[in-house]
Amino acid sequence: MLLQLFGIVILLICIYTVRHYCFTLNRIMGKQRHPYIDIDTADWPAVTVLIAAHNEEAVVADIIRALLEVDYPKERLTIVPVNDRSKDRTKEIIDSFVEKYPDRIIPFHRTGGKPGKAAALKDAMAYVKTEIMLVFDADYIPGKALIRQLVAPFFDPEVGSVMGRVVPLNVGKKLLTRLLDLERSGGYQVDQQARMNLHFVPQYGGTVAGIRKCALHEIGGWNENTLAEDTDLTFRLLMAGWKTVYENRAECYEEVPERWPVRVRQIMRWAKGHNQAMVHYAASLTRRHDVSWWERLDGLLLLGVYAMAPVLLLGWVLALLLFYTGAPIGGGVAVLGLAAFTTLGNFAAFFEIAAATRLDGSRLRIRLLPFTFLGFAVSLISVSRAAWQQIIEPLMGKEMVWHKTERSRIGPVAVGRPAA
Amino acid sequence: MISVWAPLALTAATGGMLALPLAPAVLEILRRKDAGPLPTRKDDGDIRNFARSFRRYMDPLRAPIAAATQSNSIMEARLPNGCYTLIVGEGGLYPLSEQRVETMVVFGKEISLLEQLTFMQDVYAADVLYGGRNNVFRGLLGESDIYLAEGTHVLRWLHAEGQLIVQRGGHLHTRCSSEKAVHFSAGCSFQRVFAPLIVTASQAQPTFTAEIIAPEKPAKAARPLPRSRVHGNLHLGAGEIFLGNIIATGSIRIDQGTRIFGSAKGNGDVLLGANTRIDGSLISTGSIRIGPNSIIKGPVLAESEIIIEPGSRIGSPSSPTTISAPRILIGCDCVTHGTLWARVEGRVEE
Repeated sequence: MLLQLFGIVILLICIYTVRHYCFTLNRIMGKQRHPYIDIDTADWPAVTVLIAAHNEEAVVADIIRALLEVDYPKERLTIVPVNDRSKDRTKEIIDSFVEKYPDRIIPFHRTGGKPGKAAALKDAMAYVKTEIMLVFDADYIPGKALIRQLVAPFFDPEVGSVMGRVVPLNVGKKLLTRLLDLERSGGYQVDQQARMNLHFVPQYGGTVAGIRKCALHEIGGWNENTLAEDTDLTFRLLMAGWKTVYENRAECYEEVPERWPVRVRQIMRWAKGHNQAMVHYAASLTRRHDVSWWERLDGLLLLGVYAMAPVLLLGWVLALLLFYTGAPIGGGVAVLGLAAFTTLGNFAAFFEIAAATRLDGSRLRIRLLPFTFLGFAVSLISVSRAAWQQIIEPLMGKEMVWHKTERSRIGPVAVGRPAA
Repeated sequence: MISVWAPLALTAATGGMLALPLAPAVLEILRRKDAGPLPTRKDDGDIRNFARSFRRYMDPLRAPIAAATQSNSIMEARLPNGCYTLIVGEGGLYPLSEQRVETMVVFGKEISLLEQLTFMQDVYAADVLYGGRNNVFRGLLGESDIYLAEGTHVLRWLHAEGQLIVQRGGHLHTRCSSEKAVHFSAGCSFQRVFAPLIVTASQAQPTFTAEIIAPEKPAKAARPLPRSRVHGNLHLGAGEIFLGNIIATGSIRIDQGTRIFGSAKGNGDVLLGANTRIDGSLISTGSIRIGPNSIIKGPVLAESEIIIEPGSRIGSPSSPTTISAPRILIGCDCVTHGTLWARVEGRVEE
């Protein structure tokens, strides 16, 4: 029994290993798809930009300022800061901008209701009068061309949502920020773009992102009962026949966590939300014959990403048990397991990161690659803990709680200025 | 003694070997050689940015250009960075003594160039410029109309404040823009072109209209169209009318005279018959062939090739748009408004 379980663990790790390598090799050697990048002239549609802001006094002014300067027809761009029950100066800061730009900014000050970003966005829909809407978290700083880049794919009637690339701004602050910078590079530059290249399932990430309103209505609107509205939306759109598009060159700066406890809370929330989506959609996705075979396979693997951490831990425990009980695990399986655990399995993700730094043309930061194991270990434990809590807490009658990511920014930031 | 030092030496050597791969990482943390945020795009992507920065670069020469033009003379000047510039204040046919011009050249008046000239530096034309056959320009900014004769090559960029007329065999290897219109003759090639009006003809002629640029349109009200998603290939018969956006998971074939009040997307090749009309965008993950005399109002995007047959119109003066594919082949007598962007090859066919 243990041996069979161990075999399944090894098989899963091997599948993810192959997936990582396929993505990385595609990114390095395959044909790259950027079908909408050249749309620079068009009858640009009216757009609403929603800024999700919950206690964001440290950062909200920067994003509003940046959005006021973007290169998009002013009369077609409405900025809606969604001030979600903030207890700090967020409302005051937003209102000071509204005073100056009453025709361009329509504030939504949410004073009650269910906590969480999805719930806030759901309430904010009353303020969205346009067919296309973009969503940013308040710590993001969009560049001048970003709005056009995110809107361009919506000329494709099959596109339901668009995702841009997130680039950490506070990279040089700490070891953690530098590790997260590498991780983001791998995730976007390789993972997301490879899925785009291969016509798989690029993920809507909830920020630096756009949604077609009629597509959102078709799938029933925002799901406020999830901790990862982005993953939830990706799969509901996929199953309704809408495409999510990734725009690798639609880059936007963000602030990554600077403290380990903040990072742990962030990744635990992501893991729980992602696992929720896995439970809700994995089975129904496999049955969707109108979704291509490849999309279904990639979708399932994407849904299972955060479940792999506890699976890996289980694998380690099983390996030890089997070894000390003298179980006949066989040489081949042992070698495969060893390879999967030490070089091919977990470390395939590091191969992705290495490839991403090369693609980014920023090669010196690759030196930090050995330390990404530290980030990996923390994530492994945190994600496994999140999965455990997800199983245990409902049994104890506890509800899942939304943890907002704390900001560390002090003072305004010059857009695009290197920090180090 | 040996028994004490041996394990210590072994431990130190092992520790050193284990630590060695970490040395670059530790050094990077201590010395921070690459700890800044990755650069992101800061410009607005406007094709005319090259021309604008070149005009700013030329600003210090305004006075010498005016003086040379007034005195009908040829002057030499230097830009603040020391770059030597030849200012030609004479108009008419200018007989440059060399076929290969190594310096930056400014033409202050309407000028006609001889054949076979190669300009190794950028050229600034304050008035109309008539190029000679087989001229080669590195970069060219014209404050008025530019006429490029047969066999001309533009290597880096070109911008005309007036109209740009490119005769047969003209090759615009990179970005090229006009504030008014671009006229291509058959046999020309291009890569990225922007103008309110782009016309292809067997023999290009300028347009003589009072105003080519349409006024700004007010924002359109949000009007979501119904969506139809077809599994497999889609065929719309001749003369059909379709209201809404249509998507096929396979290829699309639309016969002549069909009208779509919306956009069309094929996850395969898209083939349009003659006289079809699409009010929105036309997108394909493969190639697109647009039949003769068709009208497409929105962006036309294909991931491999777009073929536009004679007499078609893409975009409109009030709604300029983008045509983009690795390869674009356009027939004669086509009119497009906005951007043509062929990453690999764009060509005007006979």
